[in-house]
Amino acid sequence: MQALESPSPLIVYIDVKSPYAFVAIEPTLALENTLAVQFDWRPLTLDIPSFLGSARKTDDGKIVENKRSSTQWGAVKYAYMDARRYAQRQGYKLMGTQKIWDSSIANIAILWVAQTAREKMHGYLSTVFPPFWRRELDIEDVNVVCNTLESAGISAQGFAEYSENEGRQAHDQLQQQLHPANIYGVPTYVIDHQILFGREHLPYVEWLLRGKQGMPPDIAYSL
Amino acid sequence: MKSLDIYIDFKSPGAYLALQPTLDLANKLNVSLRWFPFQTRQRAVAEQGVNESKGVTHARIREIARRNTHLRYAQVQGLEMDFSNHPRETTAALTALAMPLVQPLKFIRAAFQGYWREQLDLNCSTTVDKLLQETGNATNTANARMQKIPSTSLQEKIIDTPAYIVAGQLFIGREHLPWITLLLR
Repeated sequence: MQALESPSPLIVYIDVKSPYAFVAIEPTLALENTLAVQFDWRPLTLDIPSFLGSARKTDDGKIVENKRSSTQWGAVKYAYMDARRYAQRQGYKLMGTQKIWDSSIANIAILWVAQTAREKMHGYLSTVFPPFWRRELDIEDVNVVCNTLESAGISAQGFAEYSENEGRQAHDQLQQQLHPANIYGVPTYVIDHQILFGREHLPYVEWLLRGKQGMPPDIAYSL
Repeated sequence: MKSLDIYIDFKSPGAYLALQPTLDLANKLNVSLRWFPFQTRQRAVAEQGVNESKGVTHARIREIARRNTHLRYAQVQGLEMDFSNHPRETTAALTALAMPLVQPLKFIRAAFQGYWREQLDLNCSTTVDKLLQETGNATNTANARMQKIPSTSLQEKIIDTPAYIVAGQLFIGREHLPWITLLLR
């Protein structure tokens, strides 16, 4: 798998633990449905401490570990507040995470779905994101991810092994390509080697996918 | 008439690109705009290091991508944008914006154009005073008489510009204009 190459007209990089990826799922799926094409959904497992510091909270929000500057805290707090209000508009609850999760197993499951049940990608994304953001899913537990796949109507037979071997290798190999390909965050949209970070580019992505009809649109979050 | 508070910095590429869409929105909805200065921290694109950490790589790539994104949408808006000498300090121009100006919009347009197209030094009082005169604002930065900038808990949460405060909510970036439009309606 090459970071910028795909038989699909659009590659979409996401991470289950990103609030901005969460609020991008619905409008991106809507665009996929509207255009009646299959996007190439892929995992980008963020190494958050490397660029936003790290912190850990208790259930009641008390900070028990803090390796963030005040600037990083300001950015994190705004990001969550902003994602939360858009999630609410979409009818979802978005609770702040208490720690920085290792989302690689839930993200490897994206590759699994793409390989074994592509037509159920919508189902998997809709089954994993909302409960995780309600703090109801332990996405570091492979059994929990297996159950999530099954809940979405996708066979999890062999997934545990896949997540440790072939899937893990494909995931790790892809992650190593991302920075050199200038991909660093989620959601990222890749179309004809153009890299667009953030769901605010969806109007422009749609304009490109529809063959550049009319004037190109400015950035905007859909409501 | 409803009003919309907007915080800007002339060296902020996002604020520059938000100017016309924000004015269009204000005209369409008959909303008055109140402009306030906000000092942002802009980053230069770092040279690639030999053994840079993942965090440093991330920041470098992000900055390059941000620049390319701004250039893409500047083209969409038909604007020229010169990043060759960016970032530069803009304190004198922000001081001027904090004053009660007769023609704030003319000054804002001239200052943005000066920074992004003409490489003007907006940290130089003489340059900014000249800009004030040329835009019909008979004042200068030496006589700065600050207008009252509303102090709210939301203002303290601003981390970048353009920042909009409307209906008790803070929005950073022009990508929120659809929601801001809804709130103003």
